[in-house]
Amino acid sequence: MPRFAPGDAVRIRDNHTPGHVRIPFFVRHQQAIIERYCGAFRNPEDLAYGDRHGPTIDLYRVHIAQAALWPDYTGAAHDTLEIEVYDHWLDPAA
Amino acid sequence: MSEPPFRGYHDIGGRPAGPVACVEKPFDDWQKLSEAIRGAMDAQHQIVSLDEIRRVFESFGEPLYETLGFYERRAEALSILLAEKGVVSLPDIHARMEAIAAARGQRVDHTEKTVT
Amino acid sequence: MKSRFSADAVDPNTPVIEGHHGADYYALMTEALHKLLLEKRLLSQADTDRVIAALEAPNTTWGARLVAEAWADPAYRERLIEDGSAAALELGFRIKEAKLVVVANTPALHNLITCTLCSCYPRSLLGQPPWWYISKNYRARSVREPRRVLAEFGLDLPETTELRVHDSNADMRYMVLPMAPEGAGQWPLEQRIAAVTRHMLIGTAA
Repeated sequence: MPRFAPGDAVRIRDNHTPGHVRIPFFVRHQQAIIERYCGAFRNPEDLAYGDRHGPTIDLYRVHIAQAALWPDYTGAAHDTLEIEVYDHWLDPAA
Repeated sequence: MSEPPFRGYHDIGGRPAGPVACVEKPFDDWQKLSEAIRGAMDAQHQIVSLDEIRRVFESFGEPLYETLGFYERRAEALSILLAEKGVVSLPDIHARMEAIAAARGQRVDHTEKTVT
Repeated sequence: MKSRFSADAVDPNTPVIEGHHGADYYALMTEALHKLLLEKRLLSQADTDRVIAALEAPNTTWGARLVAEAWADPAYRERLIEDGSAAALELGFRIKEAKLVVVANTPALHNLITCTLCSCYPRSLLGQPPWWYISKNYRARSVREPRRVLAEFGLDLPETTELRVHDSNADMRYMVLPMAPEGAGQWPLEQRIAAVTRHMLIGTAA
């Protein structure tokens, strides 16, 4: 059963993983809202090193306000960004 | 002590960059063949996944990443990965490139990545 | 020599370098590599021919076909938004590389697709992405100043419309469902398909 549900507030971690990861730098440490659960997928952090049989990991799409991502954001105040984050890169928002 | 931020050179979302050149370019035959070699080798031998290709071009060095185009980066990563897996060696690939080029009266520079 | 994964590896304020070097060299390398793999019998000519055919087949009209169906059939539109891969399969399009997520434009919401880390794109439906989509300039700027990028493509989005950028960074691939032109639901199928451009499916046109 997925740890988070749509609407849950989360914070994206910075796992300091020294290798291939799929969580871009610009969303790390950001607070976000779960938009949907995407299913469970093999971890690209394993796949990138040839391990095709590692555990599957829950994947979510999250929703972030652009104004929170970029202090100098010049677009509209209601603009948003959505991005996929694996479970092990998420904490519940404090 | 706080750990340093980890950010690969490929992780460019949000960095300053120039105008987006809204032009179209054809999907060249060599680009199709390069993508097809990867796809076929992965389908036949489960040996060159896209995740592995990404890992390689994210670690072959910033100078190469900066100068090469998209399909060129993937082709470079494919050769490194196949060598890493012991499928074909880089010296063998380079020697074959030189032989093909010589037959056409051309020279290959593996440092500059040029054929003249 | 800078370390790849250290605090000083990347200065976030350093402009991205957009390089396009090496085409002749890698065309030659690809030719050489292909010959070596054929000689080692690790591949046959038919293997790569088959993959090339699969790479060449998908194109914008496949995505436009889904849009055309959604414009004429509200129930299909709902299914397409609910589960893009399943709805694509209904019309005979199998999305191979990932799950397809279709995001619908409305008068209040405009969607834009990008991939900042590499250049993910629903290739098995729409074919290879356009050249500008795989450019570093698009990858870098589409998340931070998307309205300026849209303006460069000739789309001036009203401030009242929310702009939502989708970074295809993992196991989903995205396609925009553009708003139907007035009366499009009654048009013949071919006319609906012809009205859809690749820019619309990425979100760089409305």
